[in-house]
Amino acid sequence: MRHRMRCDLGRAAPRVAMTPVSEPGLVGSRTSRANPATGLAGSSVARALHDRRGLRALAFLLGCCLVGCIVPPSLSVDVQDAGIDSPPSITAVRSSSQELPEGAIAQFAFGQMDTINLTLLDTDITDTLYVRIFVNYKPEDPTPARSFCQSAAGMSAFRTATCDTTALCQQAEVGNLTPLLMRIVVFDRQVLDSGSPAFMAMPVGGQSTSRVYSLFCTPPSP
Amino acid sequence: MKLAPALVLAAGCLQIPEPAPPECTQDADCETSLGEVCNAGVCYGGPPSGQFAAVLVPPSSRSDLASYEIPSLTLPNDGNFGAITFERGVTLVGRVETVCALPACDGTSAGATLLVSRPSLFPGGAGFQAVTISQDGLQPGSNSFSVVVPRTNPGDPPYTISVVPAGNGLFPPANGVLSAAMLAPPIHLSVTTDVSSLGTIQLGASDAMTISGSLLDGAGHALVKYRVVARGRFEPGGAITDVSSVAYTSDGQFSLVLAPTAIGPISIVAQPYDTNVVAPVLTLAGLDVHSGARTLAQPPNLGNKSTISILVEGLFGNGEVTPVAGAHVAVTASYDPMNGGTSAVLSRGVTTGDDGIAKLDVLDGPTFAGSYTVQVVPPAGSELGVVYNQPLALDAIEPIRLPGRLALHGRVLDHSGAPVAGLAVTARPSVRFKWTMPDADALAFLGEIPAPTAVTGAGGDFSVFVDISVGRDPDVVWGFYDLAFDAPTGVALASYTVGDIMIPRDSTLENLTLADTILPDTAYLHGNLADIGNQRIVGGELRIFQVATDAQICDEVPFPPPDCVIPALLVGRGTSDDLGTLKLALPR
Repeated sequence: MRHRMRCDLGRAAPRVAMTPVSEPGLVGSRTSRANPATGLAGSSVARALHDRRGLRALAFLLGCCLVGCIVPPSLSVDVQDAGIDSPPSITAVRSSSQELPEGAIAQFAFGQMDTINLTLLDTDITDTLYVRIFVNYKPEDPTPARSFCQSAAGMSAFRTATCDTTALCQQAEVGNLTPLLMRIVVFDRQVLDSGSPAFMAMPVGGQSTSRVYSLFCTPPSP
Repeated sequence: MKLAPALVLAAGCLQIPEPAPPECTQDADCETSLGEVCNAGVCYGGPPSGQFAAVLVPPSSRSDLASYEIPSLTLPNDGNFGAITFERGVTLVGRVETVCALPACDGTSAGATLLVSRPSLFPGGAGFQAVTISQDGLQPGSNSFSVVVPRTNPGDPPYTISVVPAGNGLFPPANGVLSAAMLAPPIHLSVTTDVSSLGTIQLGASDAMTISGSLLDGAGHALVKYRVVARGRFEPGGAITDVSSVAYTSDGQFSLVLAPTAIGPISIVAQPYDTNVVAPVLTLAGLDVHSGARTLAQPPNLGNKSTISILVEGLFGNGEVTPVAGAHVAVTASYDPMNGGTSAVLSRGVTTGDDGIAKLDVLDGPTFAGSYTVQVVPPAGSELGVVYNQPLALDAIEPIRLPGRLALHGRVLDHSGAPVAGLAVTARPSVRFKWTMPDADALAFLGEIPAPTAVTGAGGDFSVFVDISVGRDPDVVWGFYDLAFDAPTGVALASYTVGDIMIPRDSTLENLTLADTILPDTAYLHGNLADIGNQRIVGGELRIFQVATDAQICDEVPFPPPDCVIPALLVGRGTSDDLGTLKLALPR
């Protein structure tokens, strides 16, 4: 048996059209709005904005950009700190039957095996990301996560994580169709066993982001 | 010149990854005997054999589409699905009103939650479910809800729409207003997509049957601040649900409007909502569906409110006995009269604090005293196990020592024998484990235990902690687990499940090292998602399931479900990219 060298499917994507509307590059094509290639220093409207020191700093920054040291902006709006660590962000959430944008209605059947798939972004690729899914979490009456999973470090800034949601709904919550509050929280540090807020505390420097949904717990499918 | 060192320093950031060498440049580089072909450097095709089905899930940006099932999916031998066309969904619209009951009759729409469901089109599938909301207060002539569902094709089962009027929660609406749920019962409809407009769905009827009655305590006094509802089924074998309007009684009297399509037997359930009172839920069961007057009598000698403290602790690997924080503790007591009548169940639940102590309010009278049991579910990922229905004596409460979970150790290797790092490993109770549960309560308890998970380390190694059994009779209920290995993005491996791992029947066992898991070779498939207008669909998902064809387990377990349908196994999924292209990896 030959041992094959498998490459990343994403990078090896065939760039061939599979339908008439899916020409490669169609999505990315747009009208160029770049600055002109020729300098405007000689223009009568051009004037110096920086002295030489500022120019050096600008050149350094441009140099960084030219060689690829690009730090993507943080997409998170949640917990921030003053460190250089980048917070994680959630780029997509999918249940078995729907994509779940922020604030959407999610329904899960009690006791039925199911999963939530998350696509996450964290430019700190050495960070392991820990996902916790809480239901009706209240600071004054905190309850632990009903589902958890994690995404290993060291792959790329984009990760995926799959959380089992079999235990997301409890028997007492089925049937009345009263929406519950489901909160998916992604931490870039291991959640501590104690601390505040309970079940969400992290070591100093840890950051998190979250999404909130209305959860309906339904009976298992017939 | 001073810029030069800075630029040289900055250049150190430059990291251009070596492009991965293509797997193939021609078909001959692939396993052509399996049907593989070379396409853009990847050997596609050679799919596994078996019976497959699929679910197509649209992106949230396409509100005109609904997820739908492909009951029978043929995997292309060359791995190319070609264009996968998303069927247009059908938008069901309608309006919900409650029966015109003065003085609440103003003709506006009623708030309600609509659960739309349909059984799966393939064995073991999850079926279709969607939830939508009916807006209240809309003037006549307008629709109050809409929901997109897959088209009903000939031979497909119809949809069931459960319309549950708003305001049916545990607590009554604020300011004394009448909610829709207090005026009318839920309704179940059976619909197809032949007609997309459902018109006006009227909840309740002017000639509907009603059950009235009263709630009394053990001394014959009225019980107040209870939510009262009738529960039953809408179809034979269906789930038990509310089948009447809801009453919030402030004087011990109640009146319930029954749904016309409810089938017996039904129960009347009265649940206290006064947070300052400790009282049981009362149930009068076995009633026929017809009008009448019923009395629910609370059993006598319930005693007084008593606050108990239960210490939950665990013996950890270092030999220390430590309080367990974050454990969910549920205490239950029940009273069931032998000759019919009103049964009573007191359930209290709380989460332990940092000190490991659960404080609960219970009733200390003799009616419940001998029937208290306790259940404990430790926090997700704990190395400690569950406690199920352990007797609890109120007069001698001992700390609850959680049993240790069994550590399942293993190592994951790929097809070539190299360790695989970064795989998510999740242990789930297998079908055999679930169908060994002796009753619905035990099965429900099993479903409330968060599935343990781990990620493989650099050496492909992992450890997950599982309960060896649930309950007090390990000869009957013993653990069997499925281990699911889920490959993250960027790892060109198929997800894989090792099914039905038996836990050795040794309650002293703390560690179990499994044989190496060797992931099967991977088959790659690709295709393109588009709608019927040939517009690409970005962010759509294709999920492929393998349908179980061997039903032998149905004869091997003591409590299989009546239909004994084995859940289909998710074997691969792919999300379409900006070009609408999706790629999947399936285990061979």
